[in-house]
Amino acid sequence: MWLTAYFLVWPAISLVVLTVLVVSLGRDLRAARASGQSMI
Amino acid sequence: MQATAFFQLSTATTLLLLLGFYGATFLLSLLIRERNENVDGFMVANSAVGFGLSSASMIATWIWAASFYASATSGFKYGLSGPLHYGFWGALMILFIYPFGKRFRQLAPNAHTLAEILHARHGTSSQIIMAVSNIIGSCISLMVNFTAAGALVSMLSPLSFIQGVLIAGLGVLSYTLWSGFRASVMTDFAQLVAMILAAVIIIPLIFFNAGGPDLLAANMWRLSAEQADFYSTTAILEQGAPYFVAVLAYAIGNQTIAQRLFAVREDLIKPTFLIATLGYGAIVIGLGMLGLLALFTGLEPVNGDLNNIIPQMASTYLPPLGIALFFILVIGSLSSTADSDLAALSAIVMTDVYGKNIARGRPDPRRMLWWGRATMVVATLFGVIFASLQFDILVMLVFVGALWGAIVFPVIASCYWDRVSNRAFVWAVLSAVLLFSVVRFELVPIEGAVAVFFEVCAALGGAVVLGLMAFGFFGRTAALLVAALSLLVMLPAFIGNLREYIVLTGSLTAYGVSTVVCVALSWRNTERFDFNLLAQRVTAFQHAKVEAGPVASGAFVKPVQG
Repeated sequence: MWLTAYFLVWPAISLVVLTVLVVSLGRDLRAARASGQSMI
Repeated sequence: MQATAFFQLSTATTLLLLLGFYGATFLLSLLIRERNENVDGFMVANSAVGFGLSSASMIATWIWAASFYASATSGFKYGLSGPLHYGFWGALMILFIYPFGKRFRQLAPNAHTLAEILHARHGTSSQIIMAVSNIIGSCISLMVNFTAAGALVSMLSPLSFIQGVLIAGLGVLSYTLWSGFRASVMTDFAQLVAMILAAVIIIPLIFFNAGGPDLLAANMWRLSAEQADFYSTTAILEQGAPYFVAVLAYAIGNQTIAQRLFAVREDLIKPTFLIATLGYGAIVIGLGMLGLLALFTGLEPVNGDLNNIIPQMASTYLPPLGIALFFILVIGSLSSTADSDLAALSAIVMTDVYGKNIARGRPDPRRMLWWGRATMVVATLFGVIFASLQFDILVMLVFVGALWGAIVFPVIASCYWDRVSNRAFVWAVLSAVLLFSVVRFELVPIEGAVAVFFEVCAALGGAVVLGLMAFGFFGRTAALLVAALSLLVMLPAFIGNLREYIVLTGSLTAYGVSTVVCVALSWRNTERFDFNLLAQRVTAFQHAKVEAGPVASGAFVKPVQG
């Protein structure tokens, strides 16, 4: 049980990180559009 | 165990995947393309990149093809703790550099390279040491990533090694050439999304196809006592500790990381590096688990080559679509690091070679861009040629590792301590590399008093590493305390024992010797440096508008002092 969790927790964390990154990119995009400036 | 032959994608599928990947990346780079690129944008995106893009770029750059293979190898060799001894320490180093990154930005908000800061702090010789170590490091990284592309393509498809190298080289160059670092950061995001999605699908799929929890319960016997020990000393001494020391040097000595430090918005440095730590750790440890799983299945690596573990696991336990995902995962990881290397190399040549030395502080932005793009073309050409020739780069890799280890303390000390001089910096690095070479290549027998000498140097080096980490987060008093306590613990533990671990002894010696020499010479220095000068000497090349008037590209140049 613990060993299975040890194997599978990493993709789960990766997915959380991906969600955070996509949400913040969306926020940056909206802010860039609002200000009329390039995001990068 | 199933057959170990690698699954073969057809030529058409392989070309479709490669052209699809590089074509999509190229199209993405067109979104941010500007007819007249700004040189500061080309090198550091005008130091205004947001949280999502900069975090993704940090993770994608820090993960290269070797990350997967080495993490899986570590899991296969050292068992339960193996993937952690690769991924965890690598991740920790991302966290470790952010306090120093904040300091670099505070001192020189408009910097493009660390070597540029050293030029402003000390002068040309320190700058050249830093720039040369950066250039060699990025060239090696470029070559290794192109080699990985060739190896992957030749392993999983009918295409040849050289065809794989060429496609990767041209693909990476095509989307990085025009917009430089901006394109690198932009495409890193898409590449990271592809990598994470692939990892999230591949890891559980292989795990359950291989037998899942039942396999773990039934095959625990395959692990030796050391491999089944989560606190394995062998894993720590042979994998964890040398890697920890090596990546610390990489974090400070590599321009790809410094470039991202200078590019992210200053108030976002901390959150960016925190999420990058988490993301890097999760992806790399997760893929390292495939090595541990291979150990449970009893897999025998083809030709005894541990780099074959992940491709073998993928070939054995994934359906064809999964293999295609795995293919994209590796191509994405190596491409994101290779484009960062191209952007890093161009920034060093533009700033430290052209800007500071050829143009003598009065660069023409249009010519500067030409230097940057020409550097990318030449670097790709060399990367492809050397990767195709499959040179043994171990010695060069060892040397650049030593050079980076030797510069960590002098670089950090130069940004905090006003006594550090150019002389102290240069002699610290040279003496550390010299003594590192003696022990690493065993130029004299490492026994008796000589061995004790190097063990003492290594203990000092270990104390420096831990002291620096404490310094970044908790300040000088905590750092001195941690270093002193570490030294008290390490001295008796190292003397008589560490000589058995030459790689670790060599790496720690580089830290120890450079610190002792740097501190000794700095104490003798009576001059004091005014850190306020750094912000005055390190300026933007183009976007600061001054009275100088327009230049050829329609931009404005502020003369660079120092």
